Amino acid sequence: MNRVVVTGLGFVSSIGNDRAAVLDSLREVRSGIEFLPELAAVNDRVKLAGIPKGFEFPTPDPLDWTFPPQVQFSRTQLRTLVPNVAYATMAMEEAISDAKLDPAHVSGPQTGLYCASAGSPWMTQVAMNSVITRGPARTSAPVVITGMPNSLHLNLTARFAIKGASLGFNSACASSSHALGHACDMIRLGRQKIMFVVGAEDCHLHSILPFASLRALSAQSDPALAPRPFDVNRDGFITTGGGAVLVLEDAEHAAARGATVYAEVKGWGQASDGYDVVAPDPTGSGLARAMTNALQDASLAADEIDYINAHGTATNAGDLAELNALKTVFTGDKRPKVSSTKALTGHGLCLAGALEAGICCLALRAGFMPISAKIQELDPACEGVSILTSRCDEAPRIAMSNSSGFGGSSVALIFSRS
Amino acid sequence: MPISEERTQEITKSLKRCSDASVAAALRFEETHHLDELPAIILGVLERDAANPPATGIAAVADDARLMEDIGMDSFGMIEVVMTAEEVLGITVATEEMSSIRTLGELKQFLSAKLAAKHA
Repeated sequence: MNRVVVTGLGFVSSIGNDRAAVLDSLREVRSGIEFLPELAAVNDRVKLAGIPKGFEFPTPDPLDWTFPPQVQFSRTQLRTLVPNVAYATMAMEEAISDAKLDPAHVSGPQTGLYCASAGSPWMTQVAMNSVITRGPARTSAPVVITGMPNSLHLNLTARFAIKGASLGFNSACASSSHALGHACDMIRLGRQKIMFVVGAEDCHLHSILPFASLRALSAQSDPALAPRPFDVNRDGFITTGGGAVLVLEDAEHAAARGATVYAEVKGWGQASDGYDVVAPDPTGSGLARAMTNALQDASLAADEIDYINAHGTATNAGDLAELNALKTVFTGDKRPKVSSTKALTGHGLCLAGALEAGICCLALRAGFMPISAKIQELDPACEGVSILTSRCDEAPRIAMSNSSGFGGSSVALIFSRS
Repeated sequence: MPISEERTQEITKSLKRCSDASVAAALRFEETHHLDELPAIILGVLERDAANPPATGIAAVADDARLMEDIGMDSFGMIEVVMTAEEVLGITVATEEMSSIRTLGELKQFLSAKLAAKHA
């Protein structure tokens, strides 16, 4: 099997719109969560979110939108744009430039793109409302794209002229980790040389409020208090939007063109709870199997993992299930340090896997472990799991990133310092 | 007959981001039905919707210019142009009629013939 390395990263996130800003925020423990008056005005169940800066979406007409100067869209590209695509496009540009890929590499038969988003629920509603109430003759045709769940896939493959494999993934909050795992396999099997892995989400009312109906979100008004993964008083997650991109590349291909390598993708595993449509199996059985499968795939022992970027959303049920899964898999004397960077970024839903995989690669390259922020009182259920609550400059050699989605599907990804 | 406030707003909304000259031409056309207003309206819409209008300005586009290849109209752009024409000029364009329009001249000719038949 071919070895797979990460040669480029791009971020648009609540904690920064490029690699340097994200790394700084992680090191300085700076949260991207803020109080949103427009959210508080329409409900009392959620008031916080993590919104990327520099973008404005005041109306559903993309010609009214504004973007940071690093990213531009032509009139044609604007027609089918949705917010998550705008975020992902800027992150793609950064990742391409970081990986020093020339246009022939980006748009060549050996380069593919796997991506994940939930589409833009806001723009889907606008599209459906127009076509049903105004009728098809008075509805702008691009709504067929902007209203689609895979608007990210359609827009990115067109803009970047992707010629290889391209696909949208959806397994709820495990989506972009699934995209990364399967992209890794494409390169291992020799079917592609380069794979872009993209996760992206809007963070509009339409994306946030359904989770408030489910009572899965924290109702805190103070960004210092939420989300608090692994705190005994945690009370739900906080959503975030943005885009994250990883460039996966065949190791020999990367070496031949002198690419800089962040990390090697050592392996990955997936499994499902087979338990409930939304609640995780309290024992964490699916995630435990995913982690075991990943270790086996990577030919690594559990005690070789130095750092785990947990799924850790700060829901009561989710954190407990993950803690049980960690206790099932990591039983030896040497156990990994664990943190949830969602305390700083918020929960990116379909974006989360790619964002946190990217964070693991940054951390491996920079030689540090991001802490689990905002913990005031550690949940006693964390006993036996080494939650990283204070600064640790120990350089991790091998990192694992966990993702779990509604429906009980879980993915564990393993990266090693190159 | 003077144009109603509602119809003025409809036309202005359909021509959002088109030049003031093209909006003024469309409002005059609504009142007079003079076909010589048509080129200004069409060029205003193409200027808004084309990806590659000429650097020298949309007025420099010749009648034999191909809408897709030469000024960068794409499939969605063509549909948008036709939908705008339907809203502003009060006509209906069938899908099969659209496929025969390739150049600026053909677009002008097609709309003129439609309007001449409507207002005959």
